[in-house]
Amino acid sequence: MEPEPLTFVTPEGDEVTWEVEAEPYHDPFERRLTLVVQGARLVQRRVPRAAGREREYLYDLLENEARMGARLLARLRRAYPPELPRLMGYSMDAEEPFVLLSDRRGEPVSRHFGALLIAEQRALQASLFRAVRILAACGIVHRRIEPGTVRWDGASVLLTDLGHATLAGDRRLRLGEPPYACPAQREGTGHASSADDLWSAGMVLYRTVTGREIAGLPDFAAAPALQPIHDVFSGSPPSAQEVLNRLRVPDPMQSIPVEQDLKLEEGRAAFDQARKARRDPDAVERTAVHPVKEAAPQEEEPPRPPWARWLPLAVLVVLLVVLWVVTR
Amino acid sequence: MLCPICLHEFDWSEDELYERTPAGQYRRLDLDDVSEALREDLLRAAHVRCPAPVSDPSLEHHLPYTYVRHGRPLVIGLVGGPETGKTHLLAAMIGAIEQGGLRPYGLTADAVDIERHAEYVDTYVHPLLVERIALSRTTHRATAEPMDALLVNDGRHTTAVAFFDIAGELLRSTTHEATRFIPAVGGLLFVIDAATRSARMGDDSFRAVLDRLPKSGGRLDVPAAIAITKSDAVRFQAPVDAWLYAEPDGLDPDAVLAESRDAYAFLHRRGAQAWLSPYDKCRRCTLHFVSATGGAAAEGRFPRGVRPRRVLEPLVSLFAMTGVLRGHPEVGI
Repeated sequence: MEPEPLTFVTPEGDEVTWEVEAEPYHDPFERRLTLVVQGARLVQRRVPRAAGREREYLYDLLENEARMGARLLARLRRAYPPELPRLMGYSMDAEEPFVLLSDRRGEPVSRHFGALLIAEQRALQASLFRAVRILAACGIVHRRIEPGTVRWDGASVLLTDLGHATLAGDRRLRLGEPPYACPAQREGTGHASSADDLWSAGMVLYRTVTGREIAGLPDFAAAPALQPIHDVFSGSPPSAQEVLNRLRVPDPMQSIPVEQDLKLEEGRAAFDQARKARRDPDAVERTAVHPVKEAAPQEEEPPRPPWARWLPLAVLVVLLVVLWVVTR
Repeated sequence: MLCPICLHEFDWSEDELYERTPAGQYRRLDLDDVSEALREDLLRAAHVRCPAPVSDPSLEHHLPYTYVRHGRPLVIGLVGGPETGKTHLLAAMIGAIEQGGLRPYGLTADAVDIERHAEYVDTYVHPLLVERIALSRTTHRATAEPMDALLVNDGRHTTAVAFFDIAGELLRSTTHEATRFIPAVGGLLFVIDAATRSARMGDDSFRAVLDRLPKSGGRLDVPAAIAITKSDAVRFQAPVDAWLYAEPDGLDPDAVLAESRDAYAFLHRRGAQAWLSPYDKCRRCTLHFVSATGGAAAEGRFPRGVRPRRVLEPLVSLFAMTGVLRGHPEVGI
């Protein structure tokens, strides 16, 4: 493989050109790259020109992959979890747009249906719910958790394909099929919530652990290992954090510091102040004067006589004199 | 009636109507012996002459009859320096309206002057949205004439809305003929380039317009919307990513306020406080993230096509603040 230059935008927004060694496109939508300098392996996902002309929604899916990847990276930069693909760069305005992602680990869980040992079943559950919990903490609903998007390497999952993800609270669109998509998502009613991902994760786990086809709601009585998630299909499902608690797995968000944009918060506070000033200019003046008024009662205390400041010292001297007299 | 071109107040009458010839001249229109159906059709293309006395006959001007028959028109001025994307934004807005983008808000729109609207669509909207060509920047023009004008109907009332897009450099001039429309504006659309690197310096054209309009109690009564254009350049950054991809399905005042707050914070974070002066100086003002093209052009073209995002949100907010869209008194306050 001959090194070739690849120009793209980093998640920080800088345009860079790196030397890469690229495998041929066996799949027209993606290929593997190796960064010449670092030796790191990446996946380049693109929309070929012809495919984009026929199916314009492919551009939206790729754009969403970059958008969600950038959102995750901005929030989890200091301790990026192994369960989620890491965005390395993108080029979205080119005729053949692409995203660069960290290389994939493991293989789809569909290759492990009914073949995991008990310890592996537990590890798979813990890792998948960690991924759902981290996405929920970042305000993201994956919407496409199914055997084809959950990869397993024997130790942890890799939840791929963020192209269909959305933000929690956005209106649901009709998406997905049974059994992996929850009913509300399939019907496109209400607003996207991390409970949608819990439903899908529960179905994937049942299918993988038991190896059974799913028709209707799964019967958890036949799968003791899945008891901690027995109510993820109920009307009031637990949160991912609660499921992890039942599995006795620490909440990953306790060890992953979510980046706070303090300057943005400062800007929002400035807006509130500016809006208040516009609506009622006098109120802002009153607010500015208020602390002085509050401090006034303290200042209005009667002034102490000049000798008062020496009073404690005088008392101490008197005590010492009394003590000296007594000891004499 | 206030003429947006010369600011002359006049009473108009249907007695003296004109039609435009293919050569662009105006000649008297006689409607005495025509049927009612034909009369309505001819009135759609009729003009009235502004009676303001002019020293130079070449400065004589006409206004579309439909522009003045629905009461005082709303004049919207696009304000922003050169290269901020005003031309693309207006073309994307008109294109979105053509595609029925005002329907979710309960509004419909028709052309005020069918010929002029078709000319605008052919010159700006079609090349941008269909041919995927980047538009050249606003050219200097000697007089102020609306780029396009629409009749906007909310189901009960119709208002003529005229859009003025003047080159950024000219807005700084207080004497240029092309800026005479400024005192007539009923709504201001300030345009800020999200990707500009000179954010700290503010925009001279903002100052020029804000200083020129009359104030009461230190603030302008003219409603304003601030559009942060080219937001696609920062579309993966918070908080832009949460707004630019949201598909609105109507006017939600709470969402407008939340977006205004985030857009204000975005500019504040960039140290662009100087660009926030319209918010401080106008009594009613909203802020919006918009993208007229959805991405950047390469060699004068948009290779993946043009996909405008949220271009109508600032306009709908202006409609709500100016009363064109009724029932939302809290927007912008």
